[in-house]
Amino acid sequence: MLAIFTFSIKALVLVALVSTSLWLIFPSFSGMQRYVKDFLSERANQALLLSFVQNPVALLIASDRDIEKKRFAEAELKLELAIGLLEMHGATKSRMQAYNDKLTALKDLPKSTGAKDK
Amino acid sequence: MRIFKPTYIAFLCYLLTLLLFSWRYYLGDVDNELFYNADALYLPSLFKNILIDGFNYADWTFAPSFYIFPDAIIYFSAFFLSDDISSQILFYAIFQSILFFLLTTVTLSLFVDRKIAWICSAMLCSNIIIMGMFSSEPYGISFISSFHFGSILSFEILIILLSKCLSPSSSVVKIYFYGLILFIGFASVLSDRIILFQFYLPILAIGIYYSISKINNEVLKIGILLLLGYLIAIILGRLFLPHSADLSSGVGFSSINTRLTALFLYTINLPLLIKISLLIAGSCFIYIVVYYQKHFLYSDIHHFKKNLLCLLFIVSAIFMFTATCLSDRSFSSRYFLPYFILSPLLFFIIASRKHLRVGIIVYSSLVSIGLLSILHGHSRPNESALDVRNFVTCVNQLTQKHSASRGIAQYWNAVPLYVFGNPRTTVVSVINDLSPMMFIYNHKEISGKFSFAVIDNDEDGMYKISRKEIDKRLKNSPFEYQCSGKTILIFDSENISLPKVSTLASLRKVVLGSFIKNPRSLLIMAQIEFEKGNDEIAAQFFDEAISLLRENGAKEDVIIQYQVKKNEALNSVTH
Repeated sequence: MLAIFTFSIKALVLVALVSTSLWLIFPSFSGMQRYVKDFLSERANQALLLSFVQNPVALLIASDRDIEKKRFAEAELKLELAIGLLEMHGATKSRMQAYNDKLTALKDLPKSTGAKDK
Repeated sequence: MRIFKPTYIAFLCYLLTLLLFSWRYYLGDVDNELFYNADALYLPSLFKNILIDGFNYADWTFAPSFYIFPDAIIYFSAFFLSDDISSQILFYAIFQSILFFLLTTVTLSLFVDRKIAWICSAMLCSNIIIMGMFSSEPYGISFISSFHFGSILSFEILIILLSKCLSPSSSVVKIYFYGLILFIGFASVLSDRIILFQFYLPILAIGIYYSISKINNEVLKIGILLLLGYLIAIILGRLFLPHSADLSSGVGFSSINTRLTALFLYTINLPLLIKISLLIAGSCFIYIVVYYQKHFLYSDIHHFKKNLLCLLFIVSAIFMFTATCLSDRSFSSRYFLPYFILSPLLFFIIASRKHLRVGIIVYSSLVSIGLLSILHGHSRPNESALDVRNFVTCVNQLTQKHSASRGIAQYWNAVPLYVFGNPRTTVVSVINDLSPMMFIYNHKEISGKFSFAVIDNDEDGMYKISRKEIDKRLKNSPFEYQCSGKTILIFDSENISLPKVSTLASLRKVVLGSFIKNPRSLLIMAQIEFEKGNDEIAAQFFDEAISLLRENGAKEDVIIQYQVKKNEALNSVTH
C-alpha cells in the first residue's frame, strides 16, 4: 500500500505540472480577453460594475476625468449613477442640482465614444 | 514487405465497403435522418457559427457532453477539407471509420499475429459499415459525431495504453505512458462523461480489487491517473469552457425487467441482418464471460492482460447497465455501443486458434451477405427519411424569395435549417409559446427581430409552435406555404421578437439585480432588457429599483418618478 501512496503523491505532482502546462498552452486566452472586453463595452454591464461604487463624489470625480478624456458616454453613465445614489439616500433637490445640471450639459454634447446597448 | 493474400483481400473488402457507403451517401440512399438530425448536426452548427459566421464560442451553451476529443478534432479535419457541409459530414464518417479501423488493428496486434489482426479488424469494420447502411442504431452511429461513438475510440486508445503499461518496460517508458493515460483520460472525460462509467470506474474498481488481493498494483495506478484526469477535466472545463445544456434527468428506480424488455423489443424490431449481427455480438460477450471464468487463475503476463480485459468488459457492462437502470431517461442503444461493437474485438483477442478461424468465417459470411443485400437494394431508406433535404431546400427557396434571414422553428427543424440554410440565415429554436428553447444554442442570436416561422404539424406539445402566439404579434396576415408537411409563415413587412428568456436565465438576472445597490443601474438595465424584448425581467429590475429606493429612505416624488418610468415602458410594449 506504501507503493500506491508514493505513486499517488508522484501523480499529484505530475498533475500539477500537467495543469500548469495546459494552463500555459491553452489557446483560449485571446478569446477570454475579447470576452472581457466585449463584456465591459456593454452599457448594462458597465452600470452593473459601477453600482459597486457607493460614493456619489467618487463617481463625480471619475466622470470629470472621463470628460477630460472626451469619453462623454462613460461620463454621463457615472453621473447618472451618482444621481441614483443621491436619490436613493433622500438627498435634497438643491444638493442634486449640481449633478443634474452637469448631466444636462453632458447630454447636449456630441458623444465621441459610446458603450454598446446590446 | 510481401502482403499475405487474405490480408490483402480483407483490406480491399474494407475499402470497398467504405467506397460503397460514400457512393450511397452522395446518391442519398442512406438514412438522411441519421446524418441530418439536430443532435447529429451539433458540431456542424457549432463550427459554422464560430468559424464561418464569426460568433464567439463563449456565447454558446454547449451540448451536455462537449464532444471535443476526438469528435471535434475529427470534424475540424473534415471542415478543413471542404466548404460544403454535406461533404464535411461524409468526410467525418470516413475519418472516424478509418480511425476506428487503425485503433482496432493496433489493439488486436498487441495480442494476435499482425496479419490476423488486419483480417479481423477489416472484417469487423466492414461489418459495422454495412450494418450501418441498414439501420441507424446501433451501427449507423459509427458514421456520425456527438452520439458517443467517440468514447469507443477513447476506450480503444485506453486499452492500448493499459496494455503497454502492463508490459515490462523501463521506468522512463512507463512515465511516458502514464503521462499519455493522464492526458487521454482528461481529454476523453472532458468530452463525454459516459466514459466514466464505461472505463474509469470499472478500472478503478478492478485496481482496488487487484491491489487488495495482491494480484497487481499497476491497474490501481492507472485508475488513480484516470481519476486525476477527471479532476483536471472538471477544473479546466469550469475555467475555460462555456456552460453546457442540461438534460432533465434524475434517478428513477425503473426495474431491470423494464430495461431488459426495452432491449428485447428494440432488438426484435431491427432488420434481420442487424439481429444476426447483434446475436453474434451477444455470443461473443458470453464467450468473454466463460473465458474469464475458466482462466482467471492464470497469472502469467499474457493471460493476465487478457483476463484483465475480460473483467474490465464485464464490470463495465454491469456499471453501464446499472447506471442506465438508475436513470429515469428513456432507454437508448447508444449507451451500450462498446458492448455491441467491441465484444467481437475482445473475442478475437481471447479466442483459441480454432474459434478464431470460426469467428473470421462467420464475419466474412456476414459481410458478404450484407454486401449482396445492399447491392440488391434491400437497405434503401424510407421516403420520409429523404424529406430532410427537400424540406431544407424548400424553406431556403422561400426565404430567399422574400429576403427573410431570421426565423424561428422547433429544435429538430431549426438546427438543419441553420446548418444547410442560405448564408447569413439564422434559425433559432423555440418552444410552443415562442420562448427560446435554451438548449445547445448561441445566446447572442436570441435577441432581435424574426421575419419567418416554421410550424411542424407532425409534432405536438412543446415542439408544436403555437400559431395563435405568432398571430397575436402580427398586424398583417403572413404569407403561408407548405414544405414537406410543415407550415412556413413569412411575415408581411413586419417582424416579431421572442417574448421571454427561460425561467432559469431570468432567475439568474433577478438574483443579480438584488446585488445591485444603485437604482439608476437597475433603471439602465431595465431599459436595455425592454429593448431586447425581455419584458418580465425589465419589470423585475424596475421593481427592484423602487424597493431599493424605499429601503434607503428615498423621497416619495423620486419613487413616483421611477414608477412613472416603469409604466411608460410597459405601456410602450403593450401598444
